[in-house]
Amino acid sequence: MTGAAQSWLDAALEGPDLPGLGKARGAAAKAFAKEGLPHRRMEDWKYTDIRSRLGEALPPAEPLEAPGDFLNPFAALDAPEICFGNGFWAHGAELREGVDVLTLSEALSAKADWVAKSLGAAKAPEDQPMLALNTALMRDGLCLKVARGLDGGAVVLGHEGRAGRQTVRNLIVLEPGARFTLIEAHQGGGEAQQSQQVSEIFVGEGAQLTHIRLQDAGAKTVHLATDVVNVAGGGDYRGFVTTTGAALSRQETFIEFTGPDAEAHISGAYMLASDQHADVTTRIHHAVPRCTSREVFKGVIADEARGVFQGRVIVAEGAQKTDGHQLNKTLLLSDRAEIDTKPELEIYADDVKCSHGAATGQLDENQLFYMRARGIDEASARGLLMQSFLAEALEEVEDERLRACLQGHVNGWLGAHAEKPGGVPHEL
Amino acid sequence: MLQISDLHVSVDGKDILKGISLEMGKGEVHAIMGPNGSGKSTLSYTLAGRAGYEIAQGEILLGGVDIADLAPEERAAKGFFLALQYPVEIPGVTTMTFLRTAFNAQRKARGEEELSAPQFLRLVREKARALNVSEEMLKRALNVGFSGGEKKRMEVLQMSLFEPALTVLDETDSGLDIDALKVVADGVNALRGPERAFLVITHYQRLLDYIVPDYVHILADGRIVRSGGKELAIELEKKGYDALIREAA
Repeated sequence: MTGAAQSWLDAALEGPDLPGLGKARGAAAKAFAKEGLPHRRMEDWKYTDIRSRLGEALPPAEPLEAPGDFLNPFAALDAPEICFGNGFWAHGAELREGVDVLTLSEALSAKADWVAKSLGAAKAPEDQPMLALNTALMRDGLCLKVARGLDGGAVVLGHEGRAGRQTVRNLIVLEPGARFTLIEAHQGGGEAQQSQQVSEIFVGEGAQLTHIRLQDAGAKTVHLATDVVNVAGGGDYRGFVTTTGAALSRQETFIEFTGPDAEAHISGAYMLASDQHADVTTRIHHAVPRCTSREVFKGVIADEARGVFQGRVIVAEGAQKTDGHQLNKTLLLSDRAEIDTKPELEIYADDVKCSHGAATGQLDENQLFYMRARGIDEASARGLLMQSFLAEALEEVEDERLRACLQGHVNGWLGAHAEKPGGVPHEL
Repeated sequence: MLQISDLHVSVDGKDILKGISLEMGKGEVHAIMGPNGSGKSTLSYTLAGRAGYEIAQGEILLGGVDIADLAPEERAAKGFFLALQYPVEIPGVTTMTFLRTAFNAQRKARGEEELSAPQFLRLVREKARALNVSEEMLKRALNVGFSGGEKKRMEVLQMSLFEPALTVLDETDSGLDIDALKVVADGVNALRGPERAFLVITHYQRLLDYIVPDYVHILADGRIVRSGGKELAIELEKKGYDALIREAA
């Protein structure tokens, strides 16, 4: 084991532990110790070198009394807010009746049945060192359950990070027929941070979850998020990830269809500049018949930033009538910007419809000239073209008000990076 | 209105325009006719300020002001409009958004008040109706999936919205059937007036049956080899480029 891996395991032993985790922690630590931190000789980590960026574990973060800096980008929705500061529960508003909310430590202390049943139970790909590390180190998180058949509304889950190592584990359970919208917003200051989050998400039979994530973490943050999503028969998961923050980030989404006739859409937009590195890794396992998956990821990369998209779709033998579609397109704004895109389709059934597409390009000179010749200044023309390029991804967000909030964030980034005073035009 | 004197332009190090001089007064319609490769498109892109068209010598005055160093958007705000031979498709930007952004950008650059969305909508609807441009086209992404005729009508719609002092029509007639050609010509003729000048660049005389010019110039190998009235276009149609250019030499 390398020294760096040891530093992460030593980190697990500090301080008072959450109750009832002894065995799970031990097993997870053992699993992690096998390889330690992922390295570039592992196929899934070939393009994202977290060893060099993560190195030694930072000291654990302290809870924040009041994460007052959290600016809710979704305020226009008027949804209740739950805030975490440095990875610890800070405050939360009441949710609808029938939506159970507990912090991870509360849930473990109270030995809530549904938590005991589901925590660590989500089906995930084998040998995931970061999942193991999260189990070994998790300190707090959100446990949320929406009761059978209930429309639980929406919640904005704000994460404000200031410093240190933050390890969060969430558990989201939608009982059969339930509906819910989970909106995560990750923000933070400029101190060095290591933030690792795993969410286990169970979408019950016929249930529907809309899951939005806006990752705008601080400039010195390494942000690693893994969503392990199990979708039961007839269930529907709609994920959307907007990435503008962190020095290095990796968003992993693992979808496992556990029942037939289910659907999963995971899409996103990434906008990167300076020397940012952002990795989107998805794996969709069509283990059962008649499920539909759809991915639309688009990005704009400036300066020396680097993006990674890895999209694996596995259609198991017998998963007939699978419908899978994947698209990844990136605009590179500078000669030094980079995108590594790797679609991987593994199909073991014969009656399936699967497609994928990947493309990389630059802003079109003809389009730029045309717009300028009609009076639109260069920066605005660039902004408008980038906005229109990203629109295909944003349109995957069905709720208009939700989309408008994300569009506002996107436009803010474009305004700052298309070098135009006053930002880009807002309606499209 | 427009004064071009001894204009030399090179593209990728190759001399294309080799000393063009042209003077256009307010309200005049001039036609520039020339065979392929004579420098017609180079002239229109140079006037519009496209990057890559290097002015080696000469000057371009618009309304007495030298525009050679102005960006394309600055020329547009000063009343210059180039209708393109191949209008560009812009997926993801609706026609309406594009029109309003461009319209207000020009007004803003001139220090005029921008139009509100409802004000602009009213204006566009009125202009669009006259050109047979449907509401549905305005809602679609700019030029995406438009037929050749629809794209040209969209160019004319923009021209009628911006009301430019000088319009250059770069082979606007190419690929148009006779009905589409008439729509374009009617749009131009409706806009003709003492304050507006047009430079019609074309290979064929056909368009000039509908947009009747005051002056015709023949362009060959980067130079204007002959100028005359509208009858020159008819003479050209009879004799062909080769004979006429040989005569002029």
